[in-house]
Amino acid sequence: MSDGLSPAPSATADWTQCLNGVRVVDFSWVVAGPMATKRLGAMGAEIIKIESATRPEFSLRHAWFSVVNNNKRSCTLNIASAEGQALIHALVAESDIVVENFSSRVLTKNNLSYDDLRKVKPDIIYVSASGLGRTGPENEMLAYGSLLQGYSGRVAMIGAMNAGLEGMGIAPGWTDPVTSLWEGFLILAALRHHRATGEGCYIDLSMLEASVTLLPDALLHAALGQATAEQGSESEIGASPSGCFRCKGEDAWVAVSVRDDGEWRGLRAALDVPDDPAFSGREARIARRTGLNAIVAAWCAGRTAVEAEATLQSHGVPSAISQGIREVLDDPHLKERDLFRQVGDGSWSIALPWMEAGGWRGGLSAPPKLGADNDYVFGELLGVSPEEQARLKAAGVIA
Amino acid sequence: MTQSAASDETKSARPGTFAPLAGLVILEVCTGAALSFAARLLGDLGAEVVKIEPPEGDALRRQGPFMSGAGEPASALFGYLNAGKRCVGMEIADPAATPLLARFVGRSDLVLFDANAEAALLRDLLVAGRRQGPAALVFSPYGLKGARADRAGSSFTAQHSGGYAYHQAYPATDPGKVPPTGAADREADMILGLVAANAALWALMSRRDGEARPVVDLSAEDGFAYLLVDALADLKEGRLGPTRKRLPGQGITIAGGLVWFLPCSDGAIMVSPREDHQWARWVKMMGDPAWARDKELCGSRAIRTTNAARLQELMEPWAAGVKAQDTFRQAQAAKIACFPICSATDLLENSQLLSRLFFETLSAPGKTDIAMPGLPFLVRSSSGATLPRPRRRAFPQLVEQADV
Repeated sequence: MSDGLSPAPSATADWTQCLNGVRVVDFSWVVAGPMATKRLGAMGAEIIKIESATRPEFSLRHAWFSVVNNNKRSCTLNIASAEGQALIHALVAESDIVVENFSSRVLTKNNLSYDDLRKVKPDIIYVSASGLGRTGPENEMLAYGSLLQGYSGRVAMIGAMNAGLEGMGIAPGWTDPVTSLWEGFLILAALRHHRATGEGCYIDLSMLEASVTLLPDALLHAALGQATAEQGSESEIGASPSGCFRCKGEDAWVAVSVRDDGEWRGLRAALDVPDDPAFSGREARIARRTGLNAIVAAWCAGRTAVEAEATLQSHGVPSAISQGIREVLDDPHLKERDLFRQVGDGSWSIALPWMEAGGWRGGLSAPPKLGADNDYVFGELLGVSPEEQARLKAAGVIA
Repeated sequence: MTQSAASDETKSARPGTFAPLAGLVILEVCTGAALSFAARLLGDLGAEVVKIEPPEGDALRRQGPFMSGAGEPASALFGYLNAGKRCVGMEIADPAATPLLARFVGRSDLVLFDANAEAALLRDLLVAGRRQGPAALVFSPYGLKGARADRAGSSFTAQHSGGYAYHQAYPATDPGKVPPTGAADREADMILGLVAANAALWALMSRRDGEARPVVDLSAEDGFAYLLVDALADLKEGRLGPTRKRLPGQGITIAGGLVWFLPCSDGAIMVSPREDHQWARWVKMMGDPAWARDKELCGSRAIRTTNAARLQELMEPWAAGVKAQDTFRQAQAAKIACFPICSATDLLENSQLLSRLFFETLSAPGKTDIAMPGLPFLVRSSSGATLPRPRRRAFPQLVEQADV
């Protein structure tokens, strides 16, 4: 191993190569699975999305589809037909990874379970994401990510419950992107295991658990028989003052968070708050957060968000204007970081959530048209002749 | 797979175990929960993780909740984030510590660190140097590149500048009373830890002998802006209002469909009978109210979406007279997606989580064991090997630099 410090020959790297040669058969739909496979595509994997022109979730191409389905090929297939299943099995035999979020009933009925597919590809990496996991007394329950945000407890920890669901952590989706990140992490780890051992694996990922494991403060307090001290949504746990404060102007807000003595000194200087022993130390400030937040709120109320943020930042206080998507897309800093790009029809999509320090942020191609890669998948990869493809189309198998 | 093996992939797990990151050494130098969680996950999958802390210990060791029992306080949160790591106390800004830090770096495959002043040496070595050696992941509020790169921030403020907080409080009937709202609990740091864990594996798998090390620039703000799928979709479809002010009749839809929240006599449920057949069964559960026969009110999925707020009002009186748990069970038996709103205490007793052995136990000398969240998946390899998962995890003790 290198010592990490010695000068090395100058070298350049091609960051697009990480997953080159990896093929993914993607049965997933809606958001979680597609976000995960989109990232794999950004890293160089070939993603083959299995769709159906007869299913509205595929054929309608909602606006969110174009945000989570970049970097993929699309083929259309009737997975309920015996010939369709044979084509799937042939494709899986030529692939490395399967990603799915079917119900257990659909998996079994259509011969797409791990045990079915490992017969044709013993070392397949098979990722099964389901609402509550594939085992346990509730494994057959019908679940959507949005509802699991309630079942996981997060909805009870954000804002105040209200019938309009306003500011309650239901939208934007949380469980789906969280699940996608677990899927991506596990797939990359499984690929490394495959490269080292030649083994595939079966991963049973629970969306409920994927969300619950991100709520340690509440769970640990409950395990100790204590009430949760802080929700974390309206202010930062362990910071004070901390919150989102109204500024001059329509719907203008600045988030502020003071986590340590240095930032507290900065805030005092920015707001011209006299030194007070009652606020000495983080614990003392947390105990007096309501009063401290009132001081910051009064100060912000007399300033625009831009003025407040500039003053606080000049004193090293963590602070940020609360921005909506329009401001985010127009933000010079985020533009420089190349997180959002326009693809295909000019609509916006999102690149990888990290970048290589040299600027690489992964591929981001337009989402595929429905069935755009039928010829590639059935002809080029599986060797089905044009005549046979025509027959399969007429028979409703390629559909 | 045609991929040539990366330099780290010659290391492998013990036969019979699924430990995909076995053989890797991860060095963690951070002050917050995000990278701690990322490194914990890498360790859970088999990597050896060394965590460098200040001599007095990580600040999170002094944040509650604390485990019950005699002796020095043991932060349960710190235990959760750092179980399984080797924790070493040293002052990394002290020049005298540089040779030891360099040794730690030299034996590592990946170094995770915060871009703060204390880690300036690591930044010089691993970012500016761009030499061979371990991959690096640098975490900061706004990233290493860009006009805001040097600003002060936290995972809380990054949710606001990155747009997530705004859209979590969109739409609002009175935006002045519903501020932009952040994620719950420690979710902000935890999801950034998940992003970091993904990026870390990308970096490890992108390392090649004889090539420059990958250096990941991970910004908290990017991590939250990455979540704006629904907002971009609304913008594209022209459904995004000019402000957060709620439009007349506007319901809450996220990618996939309409959701209702209904207070019950003993709690609340969320329900999404989005398809026509699901809606028909839901109406039956509600006792076939007369209003449900009005086609112009609820005759199709699209109409129900348009009239979401009115339907909410009509369902509320019925829901107020039923129990959340009973309704959840009945709805699921009728194949309608419905769940109660849980508390943390509910989750600790949840039969589904318990049956999957989701919770682990945190243990420390002289302290009472407590349950803590575990990993959200089960895995078995094609040869039947499973991930070694100790159910009882030891609280990570700090070792002095001199003892290393």
